[in-house]
Amino acid sequence: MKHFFRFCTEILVGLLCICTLLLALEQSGWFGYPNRQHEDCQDFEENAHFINAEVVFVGNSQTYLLNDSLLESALRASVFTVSRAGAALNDFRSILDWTDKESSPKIVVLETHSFKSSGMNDEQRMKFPKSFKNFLSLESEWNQFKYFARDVLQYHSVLESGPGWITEAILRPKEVEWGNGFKRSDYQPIDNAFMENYERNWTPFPDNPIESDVLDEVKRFVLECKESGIEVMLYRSPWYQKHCMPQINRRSSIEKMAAQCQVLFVDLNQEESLVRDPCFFEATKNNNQHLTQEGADTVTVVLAHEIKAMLDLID
Amino acid sequence: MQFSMGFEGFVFWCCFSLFFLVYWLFLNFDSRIQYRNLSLLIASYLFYASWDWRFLGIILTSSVLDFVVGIRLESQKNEAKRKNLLVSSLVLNLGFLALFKYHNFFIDAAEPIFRFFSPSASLTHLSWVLPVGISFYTFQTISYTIDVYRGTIKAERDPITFLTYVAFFPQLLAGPIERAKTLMPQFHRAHRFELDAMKKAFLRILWGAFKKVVIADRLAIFVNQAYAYPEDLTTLTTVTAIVFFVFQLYCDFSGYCDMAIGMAKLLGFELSENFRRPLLAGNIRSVYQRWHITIHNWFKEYVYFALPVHKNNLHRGVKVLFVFSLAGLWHGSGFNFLLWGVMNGVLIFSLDPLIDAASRTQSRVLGIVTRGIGHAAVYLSLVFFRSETLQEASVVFSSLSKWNEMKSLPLSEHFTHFGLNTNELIVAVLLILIVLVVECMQEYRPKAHRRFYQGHGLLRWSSAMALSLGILLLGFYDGREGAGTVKDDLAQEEFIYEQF
Repeated sequence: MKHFFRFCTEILVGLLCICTLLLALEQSGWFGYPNRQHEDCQDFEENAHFINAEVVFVGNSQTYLLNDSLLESALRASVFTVSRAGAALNDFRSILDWTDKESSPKIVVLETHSFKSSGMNDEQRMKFPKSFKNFLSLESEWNQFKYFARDVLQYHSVLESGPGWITEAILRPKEVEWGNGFKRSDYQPIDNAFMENYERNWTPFPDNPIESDVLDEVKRFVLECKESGIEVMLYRSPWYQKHCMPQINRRSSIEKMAAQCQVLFVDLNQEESLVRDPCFFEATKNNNQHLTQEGADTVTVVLAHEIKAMLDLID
Repeated sequence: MQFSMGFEGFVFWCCFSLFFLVYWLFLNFDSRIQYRNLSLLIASYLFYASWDWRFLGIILTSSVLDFVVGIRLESQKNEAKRKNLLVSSLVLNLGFLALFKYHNFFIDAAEPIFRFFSPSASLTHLSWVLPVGISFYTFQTISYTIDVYRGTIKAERDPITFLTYVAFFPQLLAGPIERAKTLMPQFHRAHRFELDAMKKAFLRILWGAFKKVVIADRLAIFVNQAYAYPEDLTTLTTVTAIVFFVFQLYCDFSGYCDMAIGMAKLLGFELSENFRRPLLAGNIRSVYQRWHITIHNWFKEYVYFALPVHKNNLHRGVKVLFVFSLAGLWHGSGFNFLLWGVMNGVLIFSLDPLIDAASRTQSRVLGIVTRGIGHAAVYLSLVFFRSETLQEASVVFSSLSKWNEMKSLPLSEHFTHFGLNTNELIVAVLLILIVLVVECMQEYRPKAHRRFYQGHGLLRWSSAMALSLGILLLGFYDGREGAGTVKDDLAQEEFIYEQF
């Protein structure tokens, strides 16, 4: 029986070590990696490019692929994009508030693919209080363990996203490396072989209307900007014409909201020259089709033209 | 929602831990063997009933029948009557199997003949659920009855011991298929708690769980997507799906066996090894000597050697083909499984001269050729094993020639479409490499392998910690998904061999 008790003791010590390690990982924020957008937002807030930007773009991967050099030379203004892959407008609300800030942009350009429910988890993760006194408070103790257990059970899979993310979680890029937020597109264009997919048995992605509460939130944000003296422009990045069904419901809901707020809405899918050229678009079977470098350059020129007209009006 | 306690579930391990404590503290003593076996039986039946309590009736009927037949076989001296007893046991056991597992297969096979004579005839298909583990415990009870008939073992007189032997929960669902002469005597004595053996068993359970929930279930995402949409496959993704399935199947089943053997060891029982690094086998014959060893030994012992002695090579080939066809059908009731078995039988028989020549001449080139052909043949034949129909398998094979469609998408897109993003794919390949490195160490560096278990405990402790954390953080269980995986209902959590 001596061996039996020793075995049980060793198992218990092992379990204790695992729990301690998980606790340490939790406290150091490893399990909260998806919620690092909060921290990213803080990075943006401290970014000199963001503070001094005259035109701020907001969106996700549809936005940050625009050509910043073309934009800046066409607009003769500094630009910045607050964008993250898969992000929703709501994810950035905490930094897109210029009411108490010394400087604010002239124009905020919103890309409509980010008009969706928040990509972040709304539930705030529980962290053990740093103060020893609070740590020992009986009232919070149960909650601490409850939330810790929940966090571990529900969110632990974030680490399995792969070495790329794990590396990113450990060695996050420094603030200066974000630059003005724009990235060069390395997506490969639709070629003849891929075009066969569209010709043969392609089912276009459906026309998904925007949820009313999301639209209300956008409307609130637009009105806040206008109250702060910032002009707002909405635009929809184009997709290849055969990729999706005509987005009639989606467009009409945005048009209605734009009219109510009296802001400009530019639907680039209405530009025949932009949606017909397969070289402009990524070859993908996913519904989130990105612009290639050629497409991003072309879209940037068209968009810059609209923004320039707006800037001229402001000036 | 149906509640079942698989080895991959948290509830099972909580219950097992509790049972483990009670077992060693109160039950495993010479004076309490009966109670210990009874508790093992109750635990096993509760475990089995957690899938469907109605399955208990089948396993109980089968067990009681073989218990009675065993005793009567031993007391009966009349050879004809003994033969009748054996046949009646075989008919009933195989009858259950035929009824639950092969009914629809027989109907599908017979329907064209009936239609030929009567075009309006239609035969009834059954929609009964296949009792889990029926193929495993049926073969186990059959082996007992045949062994008693042959006089290899004595009939078991204690019903509790016999019922526990049939339903012993660590190996009930998917083996290893235990012969009565090796497992039954272990129920008659109390076991000693050997610390080193227990630690080794614990590590083995962790390694098995790691192979199942971290590796096999990750690869399953890609494989299940690929076989669900085979028409979307290109050459690259087809090859990946074929290779991934081999590793998925191996990690899934050998992971289960590691857990079963480790768990039995934690209760003091020794189970047979079911795998001996088949991925490193030198030829196709060796693959099947190392893969699912207990079922292949079963077929060898009770079918191959029971058939008339072969007079020539052709006769031997027919025997091999027959045994492999049965082995194919044992796995599943479909023509794809039959074809898988036949293919392997033909390959083993036809490659035999080459394998013999390679071993006789010790030629390096021949060795590489037999290894290459053997593995390629096994990998490709498993397409039939994985496909649900022959048509599906043919679509997968035809996708191997889709070179042109590969150019239509960037490399990463090929894989993302089937559920794994680039990072997940890198992790999957790294995990496969880990399995291969561990197996190479066991195969080619036995001294280093022994040192691992006999050397400083820190290495084993670190490995246990790494495996536990790997399972917790990287494992796919309770509906967890990777960040880069396609979200759908094609996830694989149950063990593949449970369905056989």
